[in-house]
Amino acid sequence: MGDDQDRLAHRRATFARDTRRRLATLSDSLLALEQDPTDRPALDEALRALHTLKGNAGLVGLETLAATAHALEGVLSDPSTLPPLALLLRGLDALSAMVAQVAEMVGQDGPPIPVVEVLGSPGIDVSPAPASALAPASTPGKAQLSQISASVHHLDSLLELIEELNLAHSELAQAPREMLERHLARQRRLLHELHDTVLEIRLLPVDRAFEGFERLVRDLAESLGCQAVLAIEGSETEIDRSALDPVRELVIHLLRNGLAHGIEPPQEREAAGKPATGTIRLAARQEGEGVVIEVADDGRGLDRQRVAERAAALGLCAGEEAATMPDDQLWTFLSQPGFSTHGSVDRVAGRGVGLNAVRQGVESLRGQLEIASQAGQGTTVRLRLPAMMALESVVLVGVGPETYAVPEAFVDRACPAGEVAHLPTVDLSKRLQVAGEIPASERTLILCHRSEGAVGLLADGVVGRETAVIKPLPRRARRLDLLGAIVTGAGQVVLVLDVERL
Amino acid sequence: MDEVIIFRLGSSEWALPASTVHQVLVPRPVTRLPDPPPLVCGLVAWRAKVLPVIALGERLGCDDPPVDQCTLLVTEAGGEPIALAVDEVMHLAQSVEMKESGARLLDLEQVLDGR
Repeated sequence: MGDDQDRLAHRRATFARDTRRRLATLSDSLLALEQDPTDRPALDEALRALHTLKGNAGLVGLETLAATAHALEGVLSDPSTLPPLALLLRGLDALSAMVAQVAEMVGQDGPPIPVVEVLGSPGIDVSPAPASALAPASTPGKAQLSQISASVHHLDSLLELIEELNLAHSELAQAPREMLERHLARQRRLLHELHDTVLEIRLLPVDRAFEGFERLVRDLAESLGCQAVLAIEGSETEIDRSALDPVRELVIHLLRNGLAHGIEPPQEREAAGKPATGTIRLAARQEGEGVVIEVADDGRGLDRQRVAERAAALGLCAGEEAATMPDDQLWTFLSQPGFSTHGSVDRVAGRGVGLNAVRQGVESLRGQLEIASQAGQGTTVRLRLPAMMALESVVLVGVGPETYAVPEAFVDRACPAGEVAHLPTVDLSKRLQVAGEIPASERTLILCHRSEGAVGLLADGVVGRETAVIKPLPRRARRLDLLGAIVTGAGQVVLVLDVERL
Repeated sequence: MDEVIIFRLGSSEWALPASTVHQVLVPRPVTRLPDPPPLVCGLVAWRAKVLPVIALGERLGCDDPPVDQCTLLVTEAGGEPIALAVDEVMHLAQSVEMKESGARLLDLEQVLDGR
């Protein structure tokens, strides 16, 4: 492939990426127009999105796409001929399909999609767009100017560079000379600021993960024979970039669950004295150093008795025990593997397949899953996620003369060994082949939780805390029970234990 | 002109092409890896990465240097950076002079593979 073609392919890939966002805006505007056909700002927004899309498509030589956008623009710009929303949405789908095609096989313009057929409405002008319509997109607004776009790879390299600077700094610091101290202190402060800035660049508003969800809920509800609207709160909450895609997947799963098993059919809702249209609330907020994402429906809620019966049938607990267990404890069974199997329990128990998958997804982000439900009132699923995925808080534990790190996300508390009985325990000095230096009775038990339940780690003591990037171990040195290693400010490598696999 | 770095391991001298050596590190604390795979005697930090410290004594028929007192040659093997534990770095030489000094060129990949 020649250089020019490479460049074109690259520009088209960029176009496809940017355009997905634009299509989501368009979809939201069209939905707003459905609610209120006189909503002028929504109409303007839709026209702007189409116009920009058309211009950008023209710039990368995607004439069919440009013409489709132009035709849609033509339809929208005359409110007197506004076709039903469903038709407009089909036009939008056609655009989306073309963009997806571009992203997939960057390089070729897809076969033309006849717009008249797509819209199913005769009399729409599909004549080629005038040259002016293919002019460059309008200048970006203020909001866009205050944001930058950087690849995670670049940010990570920046972060690595800063750490290298940190190491250089600590090497320099080891040769103390009074003249140097002031400079060192200043350098230290600058490094800190740089580090914090880069980490902040990694944060993005979570609404990027929620794009198109109004449409998704509308379509899904329709296909399931119920009515529901989505209410999004706290979409400006910031979250680490690397978490956006996984969070999107998890929330889609939960929205489906809420619609398929939570929201009742309209008649059933009305009979229960509820509005015929259900509400799914998707809320994000900062809590402590982390982020909480909640998906709450106002549907029928979980059926305590069915969940208890199923838990007992699976041998997760005794029947009587399940009957008297507190709700939140009972609901944890829902995310056990094999609890909600397709077709058997999902409908009756009121919750769908795959809460186990959701829990695994949350845990791989080092977060936690919580479920709350009230019969007849609805169900809330809460994802608790750490805000900065790149940085991890770890607890440093001493084992003999050595130090190891345990991610704080696993740790509940530390207590003197012997205070807690009947807990599966891993003796770290045995496991890591280090001779302990203090008598067994004076050792410390680090109480942790993992997916199989609580576990205690027996160590000499807690020696500190650190916040650092967990680096992978070199290929030659991998061990299953190690997550990786951190490098302390002094340049020392500290191994990070994988509590799940100890 | 090709240059080599000549270093000592036990009583024999070996050489690596200077172009393959990223850095020479003075002795520093090395983190022990529990239950380590063959040849790996610990981990060190280098340029924001974690490198395995590789000791070749067993393969080259000599004693390994004490891990906290060895000089580390940062080089590459199998496409990954590694830190090679050596007793001391002697000097930089032109590869044509290498034979006169009695040093042998180390084929790292071959030694690591145990061939």
